Amino acid sequence: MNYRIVHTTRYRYEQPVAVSYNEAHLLPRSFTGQTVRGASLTIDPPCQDYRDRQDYFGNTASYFSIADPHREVTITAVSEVQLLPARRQMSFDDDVEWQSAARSFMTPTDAEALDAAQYCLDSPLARSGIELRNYAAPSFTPGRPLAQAAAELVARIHADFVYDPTATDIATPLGEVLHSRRGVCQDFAHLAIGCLRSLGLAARYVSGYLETLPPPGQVKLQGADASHAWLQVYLPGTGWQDWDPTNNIQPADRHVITAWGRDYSDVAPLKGVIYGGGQTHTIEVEVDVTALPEILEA
Amino acid sequence: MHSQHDPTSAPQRPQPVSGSADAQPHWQRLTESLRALGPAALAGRAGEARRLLHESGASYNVYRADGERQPWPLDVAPLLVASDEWAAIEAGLMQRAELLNLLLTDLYGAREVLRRGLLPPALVFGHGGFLRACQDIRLPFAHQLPLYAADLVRDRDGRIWVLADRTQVPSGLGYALENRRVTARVLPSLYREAQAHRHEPFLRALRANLAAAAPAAARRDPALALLTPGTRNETYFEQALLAEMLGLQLVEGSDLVMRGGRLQRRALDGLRPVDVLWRRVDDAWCDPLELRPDSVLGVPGLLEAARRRQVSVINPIGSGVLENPALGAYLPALARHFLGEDLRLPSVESFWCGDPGHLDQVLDHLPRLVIKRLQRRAGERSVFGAELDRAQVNIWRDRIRERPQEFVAQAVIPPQPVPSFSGRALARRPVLLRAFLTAGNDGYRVLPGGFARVAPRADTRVISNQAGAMGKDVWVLASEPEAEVAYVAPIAAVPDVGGLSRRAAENLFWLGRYLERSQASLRLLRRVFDALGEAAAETLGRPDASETPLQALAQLTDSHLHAVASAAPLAEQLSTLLTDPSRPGSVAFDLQALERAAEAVREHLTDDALHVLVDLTTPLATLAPSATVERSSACAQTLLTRLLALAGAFGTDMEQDDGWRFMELGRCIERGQNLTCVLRGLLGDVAGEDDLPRLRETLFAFVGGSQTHGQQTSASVSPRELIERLLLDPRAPRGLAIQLHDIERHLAALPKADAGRQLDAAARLALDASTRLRLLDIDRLTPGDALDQAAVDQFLARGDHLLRALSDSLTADYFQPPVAPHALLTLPVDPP
Repeated sequence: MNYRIVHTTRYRYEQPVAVSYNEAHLLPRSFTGQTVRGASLTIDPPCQDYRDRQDYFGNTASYFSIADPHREVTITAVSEVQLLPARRQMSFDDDVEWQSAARSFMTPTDAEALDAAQYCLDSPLARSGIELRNYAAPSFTPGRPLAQAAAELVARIHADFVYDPTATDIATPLGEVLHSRRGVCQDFAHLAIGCLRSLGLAARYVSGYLETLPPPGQVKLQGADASHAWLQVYLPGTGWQDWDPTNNIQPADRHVITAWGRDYSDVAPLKGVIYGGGQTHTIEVEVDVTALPEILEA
Repeated sequence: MHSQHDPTSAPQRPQPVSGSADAQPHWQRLTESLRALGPAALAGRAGEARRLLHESGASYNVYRADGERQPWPLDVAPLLVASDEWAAIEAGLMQRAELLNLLLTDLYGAREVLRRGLLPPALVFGHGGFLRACQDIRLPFAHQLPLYAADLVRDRDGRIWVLADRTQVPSGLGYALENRRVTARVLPSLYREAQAHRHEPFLRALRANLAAAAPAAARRDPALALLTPGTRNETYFEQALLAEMLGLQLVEGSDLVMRGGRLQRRALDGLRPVDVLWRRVDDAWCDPLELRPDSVLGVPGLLEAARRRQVSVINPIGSGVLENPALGAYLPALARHFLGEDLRLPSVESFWCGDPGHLDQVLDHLPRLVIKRLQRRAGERSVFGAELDRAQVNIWRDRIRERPQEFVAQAVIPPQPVPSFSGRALARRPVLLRAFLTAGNDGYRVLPGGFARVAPRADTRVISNQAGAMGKDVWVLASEPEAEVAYVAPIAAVPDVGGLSRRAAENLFWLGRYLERSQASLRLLRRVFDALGEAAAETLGRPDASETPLQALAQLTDSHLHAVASAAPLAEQLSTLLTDPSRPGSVAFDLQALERAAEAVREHLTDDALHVLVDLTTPLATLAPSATVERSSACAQTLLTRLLALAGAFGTDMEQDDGWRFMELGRCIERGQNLTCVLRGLLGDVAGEDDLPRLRETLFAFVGGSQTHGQQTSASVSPRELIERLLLDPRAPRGLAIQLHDIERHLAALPKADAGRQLDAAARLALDASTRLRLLDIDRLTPGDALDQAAVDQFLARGDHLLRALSDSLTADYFQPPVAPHALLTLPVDPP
């Protein structure tokens, strides 16, 4: 599938901003399951100093600074992405047992497992803890295959938690989400990641998009018309497997990945430091994900 | 002496020195000499050392509620290290620095050490000092760890151990220099005879190495700066000292800005690039865009500038990853991997609880170990197993088992005690030594000596400045005579490149303002005290003699003072105005603000000014709360005298540059505003012509000059004469005319900020004010030689408004950016 994504962010400030410094994770990355055919940022008012780079995780990070006084800034990311059929769909038959998976991260045997080992550890927004371990425990019985247990955990989160954009913000601690049983896609992804890390397993946060058009006759999926978030779990011997706890599905041909990291703080779509701007600002975000007709390649 | 590190040389451990240190001949000579002096003479030398340190303002700012600085305590007895022993330590330090340099490069590059299993992944990934944003950032320089310091301890068997590695912002070098300066001064013949290695060659190398680390394009004439967290930082003293000694611009985060892809310094006349930044701000606080968003100490975009190799940040941001206390357990294997050698200087035995084998050992031997977090948390102390009771040991065992990866345990090494002089007698005390290294293109070089700290008691476990340790000079005894160097002079001058920073300009401006404000309050206070004293002495004295200055004082300090028949409650109010630093408008408050402003611009002040500043407020500290009127008056007089000395030092001894001009502008604006404020308050109360003589004395004194000016007797004064003297007379030193004249003169000499556009605002206001004064029709204010109170007040109000606007305009055009940066997204950050 091919998609065209337009992600527009508009900041309006109470007072003029004299200068701003920004880091964006808005341009999707390419990897084995996805090819980015084109992606660019447009910034209005124009920025003075722009540079894209590969960050630690291999994502595209864009640095820019706006040095002219402004009360409003619009950042538009336009990208065209091809999802490749190679995206993994797990069959749960030949799966590794979760406890031996957890042990394997102590002494990783190959480069991919070594890289995965860092995702077992706490990160600012997804920390392990006893409460999370207890919540996950019923799915992680001794000897159970990891993929099976993880799928069940994701299904339980989907069943136990209410999608409620008013309940949390991005800094709401996981403990609070666990008690209120409410949140949005970022919370559910962090929650699942925190549960898995509490068991010594490797899980990472994925920021991206979900195709907006529901198939005929089916319910429209939540997370549409906005950026989306889910997680990946590292299955030793197999690799990273996507799970979307907000919709209880294994993402395949409708989930476009922008970036991944330990949690949201590694891949926030926009981070900024401003001089001026007054006490308050408003943010408007619009996202359009459009399926493109298949282009026959020569 | 400073041989290069040679990887092919045979591994050689520092030779143990058997027996107690002071049994060695060089120690015996020292202790004999010190004993020969006798305790009284030694105490005298220690007192002299305290005086020298006090005068230089040496301090270690322990965060205390009262914001007071803790003076720097010095043990005058030096720590001696024999030449051959030092050679072995030096070789060990150079090897260790090189090893850490290679490890740092690898950790932010290929991470080969993880791939080869030389370090457990969780040890690196789980340490908050590992900053992913720093991946692949490289200094354009042969070494990625240009500065390095190690805390060393000699155990009771004479073996040297490394207790800790300091890599992100190694501190203490400035204190080492200061300890040397003072020790050499108070024990001159001992120092001369000892032939201790000098510090100067190391400082020269350090300066050269900082310059050599500059980006290629700037290497011919790089701009070097030292980034300080500010005057409230605990080691600000040494930061300012090092900047001065090495000729570096001393900057705060707010002085710097990332513009056009380069790091720039905000100078008065525009932006100036910074090529090398020696930063004393911790890793995580260096850049609010990519690291801690709540930091106001760093510069947004600094990491990006470093990433583009437009600025060399020293040490590189992220080097705190090497301060992981668990690394010690793995360094021997890493030394073999990176250098093909055995580690010469061992780390104190360390166990990382995330390793199951280590965990068992830690749990078994907890009472003999010291427990630390992998990631040091602010305010958290190491826990000594020996100090725990059984129940506490079990609590710690559970805590460690719950999150083993977060804990490290280390062996406890009782340091070998050395002769120390704590003030009364020579005694043996445990000592720690911090050694310093700098890397150049030709390898690492070690400061001969370092910064030693002595425990306050023989049984102290933790030797730290917070815990009351004393500093101590370190003499590495030369095998051959060294060239005589009396003291180390600054080895390079701070370059005057568009000179003044905006922050310095602002602090100098306020220094000028507070200097005048406190003087004005003190002059009035003194008059009030004197009048009260007379009233008390003579029963028939004029009870209202204090009334006018009191009214003026109330105006100036914005307080409600009432002259009442009994002087006692009034005396209390006045004492508050003099001594209470928490009351805005009090003398103590203003002097504190003055000291703070001065502290921030130390490098602009002369030695004479600094000497006055050191003891400026001691008369306040020694004034009892119940002091008599006479004593309070004397105190006000002493303070006034000191402020006059300070003003004198500024006026006759300070370079008359832009910085001085801002101080003068502050003084003129403050004098002008003080005058309008007091005059409006007093004239508002005038009932009739009969009141004027009463005001005359106070007001004429307020504008200074000869008190009897223009009048032979104080009995009569016409309104016209009063107004003329205060506002128009260009001879009245604190009158309005001279202030406005000087303001215009200083403004005209300032560099034009931002293409001259903004200077106009201040200049326009000054011109407006002085034109109004020159065009003033005195007959309109005093028609028929009677006072038109409304007209005078209107005129003064306008003048006050213009001066206020002028001050605001200077602030907007020349000083700080009006707002601090803030992050749009504030998330929790590492470390957990």
